[in-house]
Formats: sequence, structure tokens, C-alpha cells
Amino acid sequence: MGRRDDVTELGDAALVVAIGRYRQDALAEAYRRHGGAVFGLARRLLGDPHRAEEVTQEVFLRLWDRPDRYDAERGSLRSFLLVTCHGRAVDLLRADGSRREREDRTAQQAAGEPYDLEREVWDMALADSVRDALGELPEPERRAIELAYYGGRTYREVAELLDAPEGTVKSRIRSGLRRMRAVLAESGIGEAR
Amino acid sequence: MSAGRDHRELSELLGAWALDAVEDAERAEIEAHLATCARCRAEAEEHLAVAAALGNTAAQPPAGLWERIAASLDDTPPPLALEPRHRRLPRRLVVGLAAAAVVLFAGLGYLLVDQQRQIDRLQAALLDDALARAASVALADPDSRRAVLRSEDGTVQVPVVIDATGTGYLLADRLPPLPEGRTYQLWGVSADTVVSLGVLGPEPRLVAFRATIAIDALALTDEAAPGVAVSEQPPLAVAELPV
Ligand SMILES: [Zn+2]
Repeated sequence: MGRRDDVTELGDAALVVAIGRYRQDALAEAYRRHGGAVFGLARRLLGDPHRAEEVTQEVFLRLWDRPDRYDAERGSLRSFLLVTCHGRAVDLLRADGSRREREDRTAQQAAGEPYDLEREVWDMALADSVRDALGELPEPERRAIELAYYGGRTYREVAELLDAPEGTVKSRIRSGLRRMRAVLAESGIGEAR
Repeated sequence: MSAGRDHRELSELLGAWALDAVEDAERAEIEAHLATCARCRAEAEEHLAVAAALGNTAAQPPAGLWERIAASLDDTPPPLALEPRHRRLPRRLVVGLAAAAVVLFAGLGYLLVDQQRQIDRLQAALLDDALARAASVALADPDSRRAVLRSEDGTVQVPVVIDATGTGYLLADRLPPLPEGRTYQLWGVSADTVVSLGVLGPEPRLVAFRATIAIDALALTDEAAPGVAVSEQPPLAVAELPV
């Protein structure tokens, strides 16, 4: 421990700088820290572990090729990689029409009844605090965010599924995210009095 | 889609954009707007942080995936020890901490930005400082405990991280300076005792401390210099530590 060039000692920002210098040990360390989370998100969205592996591989290769895309001042490396992963997984979902059709039918049935996407969504272990924050949202905001984020749908598709105006869905997503941010800031960091 | 939507219309789409829930044409339009509108950019980054928290899990990557990634790089893959360096925490806890880290990192970003606005020298000192590096390692470690000391009215917020070995780091940059003759003092609170963890001086920045006992909470007080053995002040800010 403590050697100056020991990548395990580096913060994420310095790690990305080392990746920019083509240090594979730095990429390996980034994978050690965040590979599980990236894979977990890809698998939750895609269902298929093989496709999830492909997406995970792409995410880390993209970091290797373009480390300059990561701006430490804008957030953590974990966030950056998860955002990249989500975008790529959604691209794949949208390119995959047959799967989408099947899911839409399921979701449409669910949309009429007391909502049941939860089962599908929470199959994969979801962060407890995030689940709590999501759970505190008003139901319409929560549904819109779940369908969009975990279902990989556009807000237009969500509007159709929920039989709600597009403008309403847009603003539900936006206000839901704001509300979650406030709840996470309170509960995610431990209880403050 | 009507061309040339304005700030108001595009800002309504920022939440959907952060969830990758807009169509490609809209995405291009929004991102072009983000390049020129600082207000939307700030909001978009907040939404992205929440989106990333939604995507956080404690999943283990499948065996052999790193080797496949490394093999597709140009040179020979480096050896990778995938074993965790510290004891494993129960999954529930790791998940909670990972989510907390997202929020905390957002705060650290602000800290850096604030300093940059002040003086470059400060920024350089922070980045070069071995202490800052140690703190950032602790922040990145999922086995660390993280919390924010808050005052009742929310005006004082001091992030703190304690690594698995019990070394803590207080990111105290934004504490207001105290008048002459006063000092900040940090306290560790356990079930049956309150111990001083350090006298921080009137203008602390990044402070390291040792959490020598099992601590459930931290408290910050304003004391007469050079500090006291037992505080009689109400705490300025407190934090419960995650177990
Ligand atoms: Zn704007």
C-alpha cells in the first residue's frame, strides 16, 4: 500500500487520468470498483446475462478509448458508467422489436390493474434506499419513472401505456426525479436532525 | 416535431432525457441546448445523478468478463485481483452506501467547484495533497461509512467518511471561520460515551481523524480555544453514522 503509482490507492478521478495514459491496471481497478454495478444494471434492463456482459464490455472499452468523456466535476465515475450503460442497454432494447412488443402487452395489462411492474423491476435486487425514495413518490410519478428507466421506454410510449397526455408524463418524470433527489439527499446520507 | 423549441419547452424534457426516454431527434435538440444553457445543464446533471442512483445495484460481475475485456484491449492484460481488499459487508449495506456515495460525490463536486472559483492555488493544494488523495480513496471505497454532519437549519453541511480501518476524513471546507479564541471540535458519540475526536481550529479544511471507539454518531461544536475535555455546548451539527 502507499506506493505512489499503486492504482488501488487512487481516487476515481486520478484513476481515469491513468486510464488516459493507457494504463491497463487502472482500467482493471475501475472495473473492480464498478464492474458489478454496470453489469447489474445491464442485466436488469436486458434480462439476458450474455447481452448484459456485452454491454458491460462496451462500457469499459468506451472508458478505455475515451476517458476524456468523464468529467470528475460533474459527478462520480460510478454515475458516469451507469449512465453510459443505461443508454447503451436502451439502444439495444429499442432495436429489439419483438421483445418490446411482448413486454408492451404485459405492461398494458398491468397498467389497467393495480400496478404490477414492481415484481419485474424488483426481481433484481434494487438499492434499498433508492427503492424507499422511489416508494415515497406519488404513484403516477413512480409509474412513469419505472416504465421509462427500467422499461427503457420513451416518455411517449409511457404516455400511451398509461393513457396519459405526453406533457403530463414529461412533467411527472421531471418532478419525480426532483423529489427523489431531495429524499435521497436526506435518507441516503444517514439521519440528520 | 416542431423545430427550434425554446428553453422552457426543452427544460420540460430534461427528466425524460436523463432517463434516456426521449427519441433520438429530441435528444440531439436537447443536447444542443445544454451546450448553451447553464441552467438546463445544472438541472440535467442533478437528474443524471438520480438516474445513476436508480441504476445502482450490488451485483457481482460474471467470472471471466474482465479477462474478455482485457483481451480486447491492445496489449497483454494486467493481472487483476478481484477479491475485495476488505471484509465483505452484507449486501443490504453495500447497496445503501453505494447510493449514498452518489449523493456525496455530487457534494464533493460542488466543493471542488467552489474552490476553483476562489483561488487556483487552493485547488492545486487540494488535488496534490496526500491527505486529499487518502480522503478520495476512502470516498471511493464501498466499505467506508459516509455521512453528512448537518445543523438543524441545514445551513451547515459537512461530509464525513470513515474507512474500514477507522480513519475518518471531514470535508470541512465550507464551515464558516470562527472568531479569534474559538475553535471547532469534533466529537464521537457511542451508546454510553462522548469522546473528543479532534480540535479542528477556527478554519478547518480537510481534516483526518481516528475513530478509536465504535461510534454511532458525530457531533461538531464551537468551543473556546484550545478545546475542552467535556463540551457543554449544544452541537452545531450532527450526523448519525450508518451501521
Ligand atoms: Zn435551458
